[in-house]
Amino acid sequence: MPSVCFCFEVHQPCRLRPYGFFDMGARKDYEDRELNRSIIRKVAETCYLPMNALLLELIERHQGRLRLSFSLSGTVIDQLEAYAPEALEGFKALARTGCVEFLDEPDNHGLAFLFSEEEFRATVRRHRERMYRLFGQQPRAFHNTELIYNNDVAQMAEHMGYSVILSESPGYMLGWRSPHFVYRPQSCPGMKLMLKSSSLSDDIARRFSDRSWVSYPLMADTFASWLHRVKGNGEVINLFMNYETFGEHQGADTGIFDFMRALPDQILKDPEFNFLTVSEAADRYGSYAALDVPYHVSQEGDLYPWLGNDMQKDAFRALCECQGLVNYLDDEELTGIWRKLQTADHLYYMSTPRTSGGRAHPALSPYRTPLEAYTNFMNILADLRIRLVAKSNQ
Amino acid sequence: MRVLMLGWEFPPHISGGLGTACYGITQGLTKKGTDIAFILPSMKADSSPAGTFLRSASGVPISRALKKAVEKVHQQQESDEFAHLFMRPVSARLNPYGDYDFGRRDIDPDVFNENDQCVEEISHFRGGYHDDLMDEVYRFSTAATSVVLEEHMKKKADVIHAHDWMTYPAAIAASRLSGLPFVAHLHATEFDRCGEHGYDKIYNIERDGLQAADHVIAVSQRTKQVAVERYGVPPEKVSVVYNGAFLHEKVPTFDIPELVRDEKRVLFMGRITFQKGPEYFVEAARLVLNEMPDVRFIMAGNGDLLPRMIRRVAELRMGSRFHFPGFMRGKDVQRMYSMADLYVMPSVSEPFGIAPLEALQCGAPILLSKQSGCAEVLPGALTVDYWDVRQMADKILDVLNHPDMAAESLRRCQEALQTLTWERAADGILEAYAHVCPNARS
Repeated sequence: MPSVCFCFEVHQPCRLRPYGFFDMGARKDYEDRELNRSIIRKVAETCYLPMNALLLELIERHQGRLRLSFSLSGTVIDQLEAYAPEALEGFKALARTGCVEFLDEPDNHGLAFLFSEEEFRATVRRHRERMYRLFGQQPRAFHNTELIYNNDVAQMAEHMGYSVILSESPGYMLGWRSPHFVYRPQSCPGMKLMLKSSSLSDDIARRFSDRSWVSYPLMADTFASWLHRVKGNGEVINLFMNYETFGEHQGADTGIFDFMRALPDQILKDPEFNFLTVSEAADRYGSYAALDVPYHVSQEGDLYPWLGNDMQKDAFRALCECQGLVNYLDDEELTGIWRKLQTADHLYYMSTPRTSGGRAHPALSPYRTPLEAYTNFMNILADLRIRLVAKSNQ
Repeated sequence: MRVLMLGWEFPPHISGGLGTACYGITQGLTKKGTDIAFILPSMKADSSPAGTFLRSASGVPISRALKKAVEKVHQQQESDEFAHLFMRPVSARLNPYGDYDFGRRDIDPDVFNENDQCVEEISHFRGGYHDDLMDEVYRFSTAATSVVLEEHMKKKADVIHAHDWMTYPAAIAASRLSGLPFVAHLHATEFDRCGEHGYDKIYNIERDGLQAADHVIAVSQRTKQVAVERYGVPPEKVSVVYNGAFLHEKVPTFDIPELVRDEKRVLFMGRITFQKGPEYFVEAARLVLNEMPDVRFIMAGNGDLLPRMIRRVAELRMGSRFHFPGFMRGKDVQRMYSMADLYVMPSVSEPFGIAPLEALQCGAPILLSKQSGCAEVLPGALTVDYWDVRQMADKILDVLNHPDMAAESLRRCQEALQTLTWERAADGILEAYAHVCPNARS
């Protein structure tokens, strides 16, 4: 009886304002509030509000049979609280249905797991507190920033008490294995590992409106029939995607909302299929095998999109270097600023194509070039360091 | 004394170092009582108050005859680049149109061939530097000639003075058709801009221009040497006239935020191109930071090497100490100089270099490459071979560690600066004019 696990990632970075040389030492507001406000308003109008309403309607209609998982980054929660509280209410309403599970993730959508377990735990703890405060849940499931995974991440999550972790499943990691089973991380006997079904997730998130795709236009019954084919050779289908897919990346005019409205019925047409949240699926199914993943895996394979070139490595190095002073000072404001700068998107904006055929401009970047993203970020980081040093000399 | 100047830049219409120098030269000459008409490819609609003598070569009607005549000059130039040494347009007594006395002013009668007086086109130029520059340079030669002839007829001129290669073809044509002597001003050569890998088309234009000129003005001894050695100009035909500095009566003081007041800052400001040697500055910065990790480096400006410099800084892992504020203008330029503990100009080849003069006035000590022309007139300045990054780093460290020494160097440079006026430059230019027209002193 295969289960479908929908998991929606809701995230917006805190974009930084153009920060010039003369601002250093003179301005300490790094956020581009106006840009962040206008983007979150737009995304709320096109995606969060209509999609929340649609899912609420579907959950009511299916009377507990439609079960979903969500993960909200701390940075998007900050922005929703400030600029789109009605959208946040929508998520709370979903939580109240009892059919929606909220996952934990590093609160700042950062890469602290790469340089400090202590810092990693601090950001995850902060997220855990927020989930309880906002949605009254104590998450048992964890997924790392951008679904980056390896043995160490699993171990850190296990130490923090999570019973299931989500991961990307690039081909070279799986080999001949199927992502449609529950696994367990090597060296974490008590934990479950669930893998994103990349191909089926991307059919919705990436290819849905691609007119050159052979399956265009994708209908709900077709997609459901693809899921039904898993029956007999799989137990769980993890459809993990950005929530902004609905209405934002795939605009309303592509028919994405109608597709999602029809999909649950089409999937449930086969009586052996059901919907489960991530933790429910982990409880129901036993782990098939242990997966040993010593290297970092992500959607792009490795850490290339965040730490692929020298600019990213330099920025990340400088970011890590601040940790000593931040911890020493233990100043709430400066620590908060430093954590916000850790958001992986800032590094992603500096990414350059891996091959000549790659995308020259990182998607959704507010900068004209990766070089500009780097120089602007480094100015801000230099200013933060100036403030940290000044404060520690006081 | 009336001078018809041909230039490509003039503030506020495209203003790099060349524009600044042209502005200074016209200011200095005007003070000496010289009458100037400055001809530019194009101007913005609102003309500057200082530029009442500016003439745009855009919107000038070009007759077929003129076009033919200019083409003929260029063809002749190509077929025999030494032709000008023996040939001058014949001054025929010809006066087909009323009051103008072309003959007396030596204007080539071909231009006024009765059969070809119809207007063929109206000139139009984008101005500045772009992909069609070469085409525009040649079209400018026709339009500028037309303006020169018109100005010359309006009021008799004494000399044509052309600034850098973009205007040399125009000057050759205008000189040949008007009979006026041609003085070429050499602000920079293709060897300065591109080293040994210059564009031969530009080199050819420069060589033809310098060969055709009746006299050449070079901005430094260094540049004169290039003209002689690389372009085969006889040394006696070249005068050295150093640029001047615009001495500010008072440099505004800028408030430095308290948090960064005590930081040490080392500045590079200029086009980020091969000529300016930015990569040597980056490498020296790494060596300095190894010794003094708190120094802040700034590379202000824009240019084709900027992306490479940013990537190199990232590779050397010093992005949090090395900043790229981009192209600066107006007050920000002075602000930047004022904040600097040292201004470095590591140019691979700098004919003169006006930027250090500005830095000095804002109180920044300077470190120049030995390959910079202005080092000839600033004996107190610190100098280093541009390629010797180790010594460059040592000198930067010296300045930062010994403020007294830096202050002494600054004082000596500022003293020398006082003598570097545009009036002095104007005197030199008038002397150069005297080589080719007898009444230059009047």
